[in-house]
Amino acid sequence: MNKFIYLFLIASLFCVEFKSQRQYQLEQQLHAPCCWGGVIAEHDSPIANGIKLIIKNIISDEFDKNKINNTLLQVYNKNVLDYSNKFIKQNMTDEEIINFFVGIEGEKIRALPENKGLGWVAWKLPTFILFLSILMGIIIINRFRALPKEINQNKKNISFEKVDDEMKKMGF
Amino acid sequence: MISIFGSSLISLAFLLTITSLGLNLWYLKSKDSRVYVAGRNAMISACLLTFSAGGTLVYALYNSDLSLTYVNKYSSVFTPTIYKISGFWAGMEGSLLFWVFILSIFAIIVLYQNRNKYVSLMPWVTIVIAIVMSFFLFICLAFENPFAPVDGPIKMGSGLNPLLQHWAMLLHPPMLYLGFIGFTIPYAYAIAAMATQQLDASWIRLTRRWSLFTWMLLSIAVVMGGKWAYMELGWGGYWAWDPVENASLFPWLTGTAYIHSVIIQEKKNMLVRWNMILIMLTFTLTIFGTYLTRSGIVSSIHAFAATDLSIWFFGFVMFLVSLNIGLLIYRHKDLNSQNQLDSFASREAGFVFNNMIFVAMMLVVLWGTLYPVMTEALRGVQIRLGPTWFNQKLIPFGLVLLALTGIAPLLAWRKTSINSIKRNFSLPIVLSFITGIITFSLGIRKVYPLITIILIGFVLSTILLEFYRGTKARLKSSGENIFNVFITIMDKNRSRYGGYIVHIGILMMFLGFTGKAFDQEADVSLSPENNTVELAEYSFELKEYWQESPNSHPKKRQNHKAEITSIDIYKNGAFYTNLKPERRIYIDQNSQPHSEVALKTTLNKDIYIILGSLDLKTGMATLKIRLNNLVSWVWLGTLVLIFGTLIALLPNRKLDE
Repeated sequence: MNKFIYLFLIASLFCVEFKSQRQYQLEQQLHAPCCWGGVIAEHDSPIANGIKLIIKNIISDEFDKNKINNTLLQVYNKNVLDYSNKFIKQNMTDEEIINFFVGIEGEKIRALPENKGLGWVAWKLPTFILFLSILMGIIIINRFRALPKEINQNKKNISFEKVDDEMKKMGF
Repeated sequence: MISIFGSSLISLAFLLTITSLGLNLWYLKSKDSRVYVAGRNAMISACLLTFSAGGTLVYALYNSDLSLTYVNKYSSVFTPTIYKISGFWAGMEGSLLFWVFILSIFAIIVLYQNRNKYVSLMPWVTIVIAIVMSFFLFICLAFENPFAPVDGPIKMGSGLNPLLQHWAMLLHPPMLYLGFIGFTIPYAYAIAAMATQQLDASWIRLTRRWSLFTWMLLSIAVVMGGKWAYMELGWGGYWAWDPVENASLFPWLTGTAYIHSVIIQEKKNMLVRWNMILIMLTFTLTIFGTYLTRSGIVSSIHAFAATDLSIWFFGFVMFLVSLNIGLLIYRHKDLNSQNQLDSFASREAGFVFNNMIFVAMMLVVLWGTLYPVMTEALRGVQIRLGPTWFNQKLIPFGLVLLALTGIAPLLAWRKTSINSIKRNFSLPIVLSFITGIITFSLGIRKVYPLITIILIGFVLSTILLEFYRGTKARLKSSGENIFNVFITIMDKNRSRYGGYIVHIGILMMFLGFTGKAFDQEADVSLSPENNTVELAEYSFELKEYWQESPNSHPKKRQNHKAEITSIDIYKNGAFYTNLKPERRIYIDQNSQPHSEVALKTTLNKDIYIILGSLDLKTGMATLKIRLNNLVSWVWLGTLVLIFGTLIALLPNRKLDE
């Protein structure tokens, strides 16, 4: 499989250009199925490179379904073609592309959670924490403002005196 | 032989640590000074034995003593000497011994420094250190003994993972361990202060330098890890929000909050309970981070292999959490602050908000890191959150913190008048506005980078204004030359101006982070027939390709062979530089391949090339070329941060007296 993917990669390299922002963002939203240890943008494993190539072909202006199917065959197997024929089309949205790979690899491939269920909590909780932290700050400051001024300044050096006394008692 | 010797050292150290623990507890009851001295000496002996155990493992690694399983797994006869030594922290068993090895050094320093001081605190400090040390020694002894003898015939050794054979990996783990373990000392003093009811700022003053030094080391470790990832992992970035990376960030975030909030307790006797919570949280997070990287509860390419240790680490974390909560409840009344805060427009309020945001950031990173554990529990599948989620969610926090870095120093202690606010804020706001216009006119339209650069302009102008005001005031009163005045004001208030320099370092790092938004990447293929590609203002030309092996280059290629390409780079038509990306095959690691990044660094841009494959017959090379923007500012900012922290760490004669 490695050789095939390299050949496909090489074939796609004759037209050299920087990766599009869309391609880069999509690569950041899918985990690499080789080790599930990071997103495909960070991986150079054959399967990660294969998925990158499929995405590149799907979002390409020169959309060619045969080309996509050929790459899919190299990366996965024949069974995926029926599935691909149902889903792959020109002008797919980012969400459709992600869902296409979720259909093949399962939910585990998502690097960004869906905005529902626990995924909704994942999206909303940080904002809640941010507001809560600001609220906590306000509460703490208000509590300090309510305190009487300088309750006990004499307490300041008690500990060192206590330590010194104890040291003397101990014979140090 | 070395197996028995090393294991015996660990066993004896463990026994002496337990003895010290017992003696110190007995002293607290008996108040017999001889018992205290005996407990202290037992602890020092345990530390020396632990230190010797570490030395023994280094000796075994250095001499490729393959009779030890650990040496077999993480070294080989082919491994270069420097990486034989770094094998000490490469594997689970060695890294656990390394942990306790560093703690033993810290413990000796603390016990020696305070041998005749603070007798009410020191038994408790020793008890806390002994508990932590005995836990790690127990783990080494019972589960992960680095001195376990090899089972079966002795081989040549597996060698060190090629990814770990990089100079940053020589420094990153020791720095990380120093940073993690260093927080044991302020934590031990905090617990001692709680136990003895000495809850004013004394324990904070005693541990101020420890905390700051530890924080600096942890900062270096975090950045060094990024540098290693940038150079070795070959994907072109330096931070991927991996669970193991995040584990190093938890204590850094709360530790940063702590080193800010202790200033308030030192100066105003406020935030007493909060500081206690922060140091407890920071230390507990160092252990939790260790648990996370060694338990296998979340998958990471950086984690150690999952073992049975998880339950022990989890137990220890739970013990610490219970101890901390118990003490906080028990001493609830003693932890009340002693001073009032007058206004929201005060420096104290700025510090409170700074603290809240740091802790909130830690909670968000924690949530994002543990999300896969939640999804596994609820849906039966681990769904990890990728870098996009972390970036989207944490950038607003970072920007609020950046703004506070500029706002807080402009506020007066207790209360800032409206006139003062107008006077102090006008110029920085105008300067940040000008920065924004310049940035916008340079074509930067992305929202976050634009806001970041505006805030950098704001914060930098507030810091420079502080230096200017200090220098001006001194110039008027002293009549000295400007250079002397500048040095004098720095010398008189090292922690304050050192802190400002640290903030300049942070600004430089933020500038580096913004560059990420403009990075570009291309996959290219070059061959002798088709040897040039053009990308942006650069053209890349394949000049040569060849192979080097241990036979042809015995010193340079001791444990690997390498396929190398030589690429000439032209900028706008003129020769710019030559880079030689290479692909290595490690002979002592089952022919594991590894790409070595070739890099041309400037302040503005890094040209970053990775060799994907090279066909030596045809000369066909596939390469990934990246143009990474402003990355150097992250590394330079770290150097400035270190410089600033060192200034703040210098002894203050007035304070010491």
